[in-house]
Amino acid sequence: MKHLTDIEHLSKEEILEIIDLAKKFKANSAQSEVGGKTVALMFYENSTRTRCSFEIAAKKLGANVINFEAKSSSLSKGESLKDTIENLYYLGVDAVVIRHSLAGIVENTRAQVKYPISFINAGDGSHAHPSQALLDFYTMLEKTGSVEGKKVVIVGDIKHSRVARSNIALLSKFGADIHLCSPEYLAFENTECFKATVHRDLKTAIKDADIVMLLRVQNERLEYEVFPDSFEYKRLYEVDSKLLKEYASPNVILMHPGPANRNIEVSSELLDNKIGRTILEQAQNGVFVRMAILNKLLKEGSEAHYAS
Amino acid sequence: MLLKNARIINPKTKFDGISDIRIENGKISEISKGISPQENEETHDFSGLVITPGLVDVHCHLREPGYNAKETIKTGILSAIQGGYTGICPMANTKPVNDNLMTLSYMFAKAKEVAEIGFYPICAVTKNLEGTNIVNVSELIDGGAVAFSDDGKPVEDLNLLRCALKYINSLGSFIISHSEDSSLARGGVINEGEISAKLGLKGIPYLAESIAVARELEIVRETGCKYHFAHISTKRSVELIRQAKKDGLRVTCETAPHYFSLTQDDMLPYDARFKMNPPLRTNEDLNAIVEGLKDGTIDIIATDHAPHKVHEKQLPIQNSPMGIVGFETALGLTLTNLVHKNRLTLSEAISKLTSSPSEIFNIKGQGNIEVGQDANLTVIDLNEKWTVNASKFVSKCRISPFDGMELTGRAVKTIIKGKIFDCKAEK
Repeated sequence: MKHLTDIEHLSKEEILEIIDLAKKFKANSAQSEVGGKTVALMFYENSTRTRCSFEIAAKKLGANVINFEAKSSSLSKGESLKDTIENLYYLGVDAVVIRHSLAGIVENTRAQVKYPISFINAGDGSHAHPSQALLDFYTMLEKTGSVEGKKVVIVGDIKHSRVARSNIALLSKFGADIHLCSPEYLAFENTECFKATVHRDLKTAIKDADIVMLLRVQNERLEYEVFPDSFEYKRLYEVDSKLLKEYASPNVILMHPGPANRNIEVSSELLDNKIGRTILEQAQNGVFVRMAILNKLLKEGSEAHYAS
Repeated sequence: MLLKNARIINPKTKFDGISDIRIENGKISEISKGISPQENEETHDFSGLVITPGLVDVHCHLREPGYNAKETIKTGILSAIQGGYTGICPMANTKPVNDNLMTLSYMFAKAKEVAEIGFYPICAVTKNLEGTNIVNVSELIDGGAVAFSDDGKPVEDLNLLRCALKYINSLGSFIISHSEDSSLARGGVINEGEISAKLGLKGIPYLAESIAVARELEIVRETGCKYHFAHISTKRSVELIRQAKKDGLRVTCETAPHYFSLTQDDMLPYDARFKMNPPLRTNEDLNAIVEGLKDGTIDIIATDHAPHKVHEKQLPIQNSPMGIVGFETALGLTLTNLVHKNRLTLSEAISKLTSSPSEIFNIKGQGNIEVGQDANLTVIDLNEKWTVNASKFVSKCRISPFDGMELTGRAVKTIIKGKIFDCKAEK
């Protein structure tokens, strides 16, 4: 395994290896094998959680971290991402972590770059966010042991969500019962390639749910889209304690990739309640999962560095 | 000059047989079996090959003036000749737009420097393609405009379209429609469906095309005017046009080789080489296109040759321009995917590339093999297998979704007013 561009490119075994290694990092029973390697964080879209998470993960592994300032970079001078990354390779960078608003750009650029530098997709447009799906999976396993046959309901802006796409890809590999719930205007235009049950009604969707994953409305991707306003959205799709208690399984796990919009997709009291704490645990697990990803890719990926 | 022993296919007269052709002063002077060469007469033995009327493309973009780095009139014409074309109709979306006599005359002059290829520019319907003011139609017709189109974008103002349609028809010409509803297509990158959902790309629904076809057909019905639809790509459009023809409307339409050769399932993810407008559709649409070609609903196969700089087609798919090149692959794709798969007879396929476009576009001197007519002919090897190598294209745009594809059949000579051009196999 040399790159992490999406979930579809991973085998079940590779996913479980990452989860196992993350467990060991969390239990402090694994050592970094990639101290001294160099990771560049290239974030062309806003991010707090993911960027900090990758940075902390890399530093815990003893790797060097370069924070690539997208706005002041040569990209704003017209250099292509491919050229920038090839230059970074020659500067000694072993892996690039990329966040970008264009779907597909990570895989596309990877295919163009001729040098053995590892690519990690930290979210590309509405396409994929594989490290998020892996940390979500880690959290689900930690809480429930297995996702097989579990009812996982993803609620919110499915259409524009890379988190939804990557989670669906991962959870279908492991036999979860996937349900998607969103208003018509935020639903996939076509669901043929997703093994999931589609809902419009929130109550029916979360009935007996084992896991409820909430997504925020991706306001930054609503150009040319039809969207009433957050109030109209909230009226039908806000999840609160009462609703969960009444409809979901008694042990329901509440998840959210963040950032959460209080009192829009999730009520403030629910977030601050005990059940809302899983969301913070997700963020914490994210560091260990990203340590596992970086350790695996940097160890297996760039042994050839400078060899050419 | 004497062309001997070829199988002549002339869809216009339904002729299909071995015969010899004599060319004198750029015109066909004799067609018959067993013509003996005169003393010192240049003679070509085309045994085993087919001669058809020269191919005519009613839809291409040559980019000059304005975008010469993508293509020039010279490279475009040479690319067309390479593909077997003896007549081409360049679209108006150049810079400046071909909406005025000066640009039109410039294009004719540039073309003449290259070859005597039939050159029939299409002028814009509205000034600067802005959709607000109609061009000086009569002046442009006198200057040589073959038809009018804002191709690249639709004429959204239906009042203007209705009026322009009637005016242009009254002067003996017609409009070519780029049928698209902008509000439905806006921001779209590939066909809306399974693949766009999976890749997280904004889709262009088939409805964006067929809804425009439907409302424009209503204008045609009301005005009784002649009207031509460019690059039809969806099943619904085919059905609508089929019905309109049954109802006696004066409509014709074209499709492009990519719509009967590729579907959205053939695209490599996020690969902008496969990006064009309208986008590659579904297998169901492809089958409807083939059916439409077979039953005569679709009259013409046009290339929609739309060159761009190679690096532009390597950009992230969202930022890459729409369009692919077509001159050098159109015949091969038609023969491979329609004729050799027994979807169309050879004569049917050739008619869509020769006689049918010439008749619909009122082009004289093309699309027919007849004594007294300009010797515009294409010599075809039906069975030669070759592999598309985009890096060897004569067009400046050396990138293509067909790169590496194995095709059967290609043009080996293009004859323009009796002058023979060799077509290389890109191997």
